[in-house]
Amino acid sequence: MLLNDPYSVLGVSASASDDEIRDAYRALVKKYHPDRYAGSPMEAQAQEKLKEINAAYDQVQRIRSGEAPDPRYGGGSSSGGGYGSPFSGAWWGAAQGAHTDHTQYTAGGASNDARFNDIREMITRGLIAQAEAALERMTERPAEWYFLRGIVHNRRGQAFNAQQCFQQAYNMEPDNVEYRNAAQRMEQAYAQRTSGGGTANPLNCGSRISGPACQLMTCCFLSNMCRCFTC
Amino acid sequence: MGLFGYVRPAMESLLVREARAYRAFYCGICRQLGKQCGPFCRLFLQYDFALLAILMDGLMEPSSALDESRCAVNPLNKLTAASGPAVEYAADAHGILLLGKAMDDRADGQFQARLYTPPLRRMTRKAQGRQPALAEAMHRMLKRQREAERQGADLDDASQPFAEFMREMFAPMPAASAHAEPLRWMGEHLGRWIYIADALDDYDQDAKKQGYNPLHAFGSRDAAAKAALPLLNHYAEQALMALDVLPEFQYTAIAHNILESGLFQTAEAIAAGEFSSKKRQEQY
Repeated sequence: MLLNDPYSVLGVSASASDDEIRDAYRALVKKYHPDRYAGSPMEAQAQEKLKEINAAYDQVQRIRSGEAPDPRYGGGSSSGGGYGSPFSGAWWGAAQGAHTDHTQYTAGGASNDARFNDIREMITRGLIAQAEAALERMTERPAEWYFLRGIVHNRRGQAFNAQQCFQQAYNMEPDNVEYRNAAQRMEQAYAQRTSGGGTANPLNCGSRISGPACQLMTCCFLSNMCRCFTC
Repeated sequence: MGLFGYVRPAMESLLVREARAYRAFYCGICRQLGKQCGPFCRLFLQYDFALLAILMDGLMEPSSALDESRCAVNPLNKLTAASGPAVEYAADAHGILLLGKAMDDRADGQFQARLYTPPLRRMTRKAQGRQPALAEAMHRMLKRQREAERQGADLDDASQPFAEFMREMFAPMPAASAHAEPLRWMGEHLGRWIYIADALDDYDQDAKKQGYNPLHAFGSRDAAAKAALPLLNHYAEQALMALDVLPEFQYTAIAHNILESGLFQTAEAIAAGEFSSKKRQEQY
């Protein structure tokens, strides 16, 4: 995929320094990070944006190293196929495994209970009404039920009830990291906003995980795949 | 005025040309409202619809034109006003919601509302005719919201009808359009934000006149604020995420400022009790 103007995709001028370009790229990746959009109806669009951003960054690097023609000078388009950005694949792997700060809470994990797996599948496919009905039909309500009920509430914009469900799931299984993060996310996101750095990510690694929730070794462990630039 | 006046930019963070453009949309809606609905409607002009016009400008053809004009209220003031389908749509939506507010006030027993509802209905007839789905959504919203409040609904159930209305208002394009889903998400979450911000702002007022307010369940204004602020932040975040996946358009930066900075500023001010209605009418 050769872009007409990779610089404008990154929001920088063609004469920007390498540092400026790198910073712009990092900011954009953070903005369209899969964790931020996972589980939301805008997930696919965010993925598309991220692909475009990765392609643009890749292309700029190749232009500057002389491997690719500079579109400013009408360099004939080389075969555009298979740009194979080294970044896009890596991010996905790192993101889904490591980051626990799920803005949208993917229902991506697996469960021991087949009914919950079915419900997770429905949520992932955007069949929210179905997932909701299936949950409401269940009489047994373990922690996982509350967690999934919370995800469905969030998809319906019912953040107040979502919070209560996540809190209940966490109360029932305090050792479950997924439930704890879900229960604490909203407060932490707000605290981060107001403190403007007090609870900032200790590694400044571009992840949205705040200080208290930073799993440290969890995402850094995968840092050989994670292109987060500082860790 | 009820649910509006809270969605506005953080003016100090806008570039000069962005601030000018914002004012142009605001003045454009005022002018359009006056033209289509009568000068009476202009008295109730709210900032919030400028955001709607700005968003629609990115998605409707042709883009809004900016032209020199004079303020109808203060003819000595020259200004720039926007015009075009985006401004027309925002003005129609504004008119429909003004009618909704009047009907709601009247049902609440507000005496003066009985006087201005019929003329408003007449004046917004054309707007309703141009936007029948939106007008219908407004009536549906009124009915459901009254019902929810009558039943003492919680925050989510109480804000639901308005959120559903906002989903419609923000996505007037065909449902299959690529932009419809993010815009609906934005509308939904902005609607939730507005409802809860308004509930917090009205906490004391409602307590005094013993009106229903879903935040009263928290026991005190401080407790309500403490619970509401992270919720408000969450809703604002979601609205911003939707903006981020839409294609970049001419005034994206203004919309971004409103959703990222404006909402936060307003929420903090309301929580601190510093958001007065005088501030709501502040002239930009």
